Amino acid sequence: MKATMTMIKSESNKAFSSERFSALVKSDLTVNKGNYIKHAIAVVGVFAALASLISINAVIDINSLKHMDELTGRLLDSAVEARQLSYGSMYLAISMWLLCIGLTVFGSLTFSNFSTKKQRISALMVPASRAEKFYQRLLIYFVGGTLLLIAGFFVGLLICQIAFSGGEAPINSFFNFLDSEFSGCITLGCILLALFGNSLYALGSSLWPKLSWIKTWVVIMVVQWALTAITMILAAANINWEALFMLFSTLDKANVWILIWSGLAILTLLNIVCWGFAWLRYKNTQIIQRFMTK
Amino acid sequence: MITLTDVSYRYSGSKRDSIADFSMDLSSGKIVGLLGANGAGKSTLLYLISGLLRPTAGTVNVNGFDPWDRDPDFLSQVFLVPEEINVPAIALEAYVKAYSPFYPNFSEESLHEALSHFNLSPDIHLGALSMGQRKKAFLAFALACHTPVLLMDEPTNGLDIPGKSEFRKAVVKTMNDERTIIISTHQVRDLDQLLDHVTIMDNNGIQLDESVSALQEKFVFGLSPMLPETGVIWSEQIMGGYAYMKMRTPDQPETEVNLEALFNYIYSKNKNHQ
Repeated sequence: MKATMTMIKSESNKAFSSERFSALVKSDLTVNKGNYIKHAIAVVGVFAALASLISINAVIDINSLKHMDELTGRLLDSAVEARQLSYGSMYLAISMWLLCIGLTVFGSLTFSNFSTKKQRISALMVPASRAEKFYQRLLIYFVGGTLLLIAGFFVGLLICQIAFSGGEAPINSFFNFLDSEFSGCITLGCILLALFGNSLYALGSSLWPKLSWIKTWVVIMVVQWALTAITMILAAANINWEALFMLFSTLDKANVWILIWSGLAILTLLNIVCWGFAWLRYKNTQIIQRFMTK
Repeated sequence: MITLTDVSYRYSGSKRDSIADFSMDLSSGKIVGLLGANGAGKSTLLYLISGLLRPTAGTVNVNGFDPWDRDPDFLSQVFLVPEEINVPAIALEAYVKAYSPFYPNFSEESLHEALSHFNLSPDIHLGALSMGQRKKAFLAFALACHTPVLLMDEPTNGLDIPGKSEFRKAVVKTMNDERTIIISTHQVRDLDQLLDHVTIMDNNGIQLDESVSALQEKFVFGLSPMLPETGVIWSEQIMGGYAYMKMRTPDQPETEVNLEALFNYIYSKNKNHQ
């Protein structure tokens, strides 16, 4: 055996030691290398497949347009660009949806190393602090997962870009979007919403490490139905909805900004709350307890 | 030093404590056999000592640490071999490289020695091994970590007959005065000659907590075609005669402890009391 071992020194900081943390990350990457490679292939594969499908359709469609032009002599560059833009937007829209789904999937995998009693024992017995183990999972599934999804998105974008051969490509519509007045807030809101999805599913993963995504989804659906029911009950009550809508529509710009920032603050808070509860749950994990399968 | 004081633990949803007001003191330098019937709380006790469960009452102290704090220094001093092990399908070399840095006393030499005891080569791939071989590799790693506390839950389950004998040799080889090894098992015959302390427990606590030498002084264990006429406190008919247990008198020579007989004696005594 050629392995050379560097032992971790006993640190005065029991809660977090960078040396232990890096050893923990290294050991996780060594043990789960195969799984992570599969995840990467799956994510990049999905985005590449989506981009390829859209690109093939776009190329066929645009070529037919050019063919028509040869017949009629009425080529409109703007028509080609419009098609390119529409296919580019299609890729953007579907990939944004995929990014959100991907974030929830990675969120639900955050504590997948607690799925079975065997796994819980080996994870909990590794000589590292609770915080180190928690951050290690975050690093892999939150940071790593997000970066992987973004990488997959850009691989798809690149495929579209190549297929559209320099025309009005998705990357342009992606950046054009950022020009609008509220785009900054909308982008931030979308990111926070996506991260909220991730944190919500991470919380679900800390509660139910096994079949976490499905269980969390069911709970979210139940909560959504309950909220819808409450809204319908309120709607049936004698509330002057018209006046309420009027109030919103007559809000001045300053108040709209207050509303937007309040919404963003609430989303940020929800993210923190979800991660906070996930941490508390993780911190107090025993190998056999409620919600977990034996 | 492992000290449990009035420890109780109840699994959520259960109507009774798995362990109730349990107290125990274990000094280092011993190989302790933890025996008990199914559901007596042996595994629970190991989980409490290793910090995997939080006692519902009482305190646990292991070498000055509260296990529930899961202090990294505490965890580097304790190694738990669970009944069902979780070994990834990677090369043993990679596994050792990944986890040995966490154990300051880890010895590559001990690992090689333990592996050779189990007839395993250091360049094996864990994914290509049978369940029993994987357990042997894991046990070799556990022994090579040289943690002051080594907890093993049914370590001989899944081992073949030579494997059990090699296991005993490997344990003895890595034992020293600073180490405490607790082995929870039903397979008492596998460990007869290994233990130097025996703890028999049930849900109500410890029923027997004696060193093997003290047991040898107190009792005589034997096999005979005919049941001895006097002094037999426990017996069982076996092929060709009887296995029995007697109180020892000073003139009788000491015999090896028959753990199965001892366990059955304590178990039947308690049953009669109830």
